[in-house]
Amino acid sequence: MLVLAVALAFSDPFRNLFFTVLRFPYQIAQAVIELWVSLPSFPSLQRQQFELQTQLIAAHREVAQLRQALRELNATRELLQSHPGSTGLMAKVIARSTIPTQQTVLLNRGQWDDLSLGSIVIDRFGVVGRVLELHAKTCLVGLLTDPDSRVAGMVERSRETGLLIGLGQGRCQLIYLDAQADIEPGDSVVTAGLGGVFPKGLLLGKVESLRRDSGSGSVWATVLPAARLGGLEEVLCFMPEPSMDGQTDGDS
Amino acid sequence: MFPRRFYPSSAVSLVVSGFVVHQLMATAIPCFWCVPNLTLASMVIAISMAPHRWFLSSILAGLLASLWAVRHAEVVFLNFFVLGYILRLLAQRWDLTDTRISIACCSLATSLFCLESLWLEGVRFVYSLGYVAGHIALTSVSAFLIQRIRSVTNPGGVRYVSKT
Repeated sequence: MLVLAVALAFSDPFRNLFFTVLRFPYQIAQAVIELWVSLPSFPSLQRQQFELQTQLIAAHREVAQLRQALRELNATRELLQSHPGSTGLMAKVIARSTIPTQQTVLLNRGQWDDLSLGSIVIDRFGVVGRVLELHAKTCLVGLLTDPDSRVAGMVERSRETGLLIGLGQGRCQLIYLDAQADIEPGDSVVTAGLGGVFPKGLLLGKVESLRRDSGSGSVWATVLPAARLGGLEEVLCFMPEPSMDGQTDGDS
Repeated sequence: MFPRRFYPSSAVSLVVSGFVVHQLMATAIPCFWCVPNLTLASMVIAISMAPHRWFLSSILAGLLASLWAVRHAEVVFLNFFVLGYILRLLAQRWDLTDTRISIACCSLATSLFCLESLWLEGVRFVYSLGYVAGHIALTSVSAFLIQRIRSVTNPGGVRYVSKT
């Protein structure tokens, strides 16, 4: 009976069924939580609306400037024959893991939405993680802070490369840096594009602190993820780009 | 009033409701470590209430907890199963309905689960122990609260009196 129960629980159809059935209660529960959290802010909505309108005007101006920059960037991209444009799929975070050492979130998109295993997940601030488990209408995404997360990272300013690993507690660590690496607190860390899984240049986070070990000649940088991993709502899923040589050892 | 299996304070309903509340709290609280392990706490209380139902309680809690595991799912399940068996053995010697003993069991089990999962995941940072300590404290407090709620809903410690 025990063996049967374990086999049943670990089988894909059971997990598929469980997460598919629970998708709706999760969404309802999330809506209730969102309503409950937003209740105290109702009295100040008018003031917030005024502030938002001001921000909107500023944003319109910024968008016009960014469009110009984007045209220039596209022209440069074509010249360098860089990454082709990718189409994404919007998804909503409907639940979070109950196991603290396995930091995952559940999205309301899955195999039936043409999502594939290993898809890259980002929010408007930066990289969130990758799809680890795919179900019919849901998927489990491993966050950057998950202890099993490994992404090839690069310091945007100095182009120093290293490996960004999750620490399991809201932070990541950039390891395998040279002893003389040019890196400072506040530097942005982006994806290095090694291994062909993550496209180059996606923002991973900012360097929070450094630790230099003169004995071993190593440098470790603690990185605060750019994505709001604690307050994820809507995310964008990208299909992983196929590697030119089929190697995927840079990111895992 | 209710058939035996649907009586509100039964072991199964306690474990399932513990898991549901655990899930809701995990969704609402941004920090993974700040969510008390209510699945474990409710299982400990359920077995302390009814040691003869340890098998059902531990299997159910193990299956529910392992649904979220993307790695080492079998270890997560076995943790709950072994804990259930140990609690059943302890129940033969001690009175697990005593709040102090059940909370001690809950704290010890949570700390062992956390340290084991940190070791399995290869997380070996001293400051992880701070998060573990916070997680243990929250789980212990939640076990105490579940125990109190149970004593209110089931005064006198009456165990599974069938209403049919």
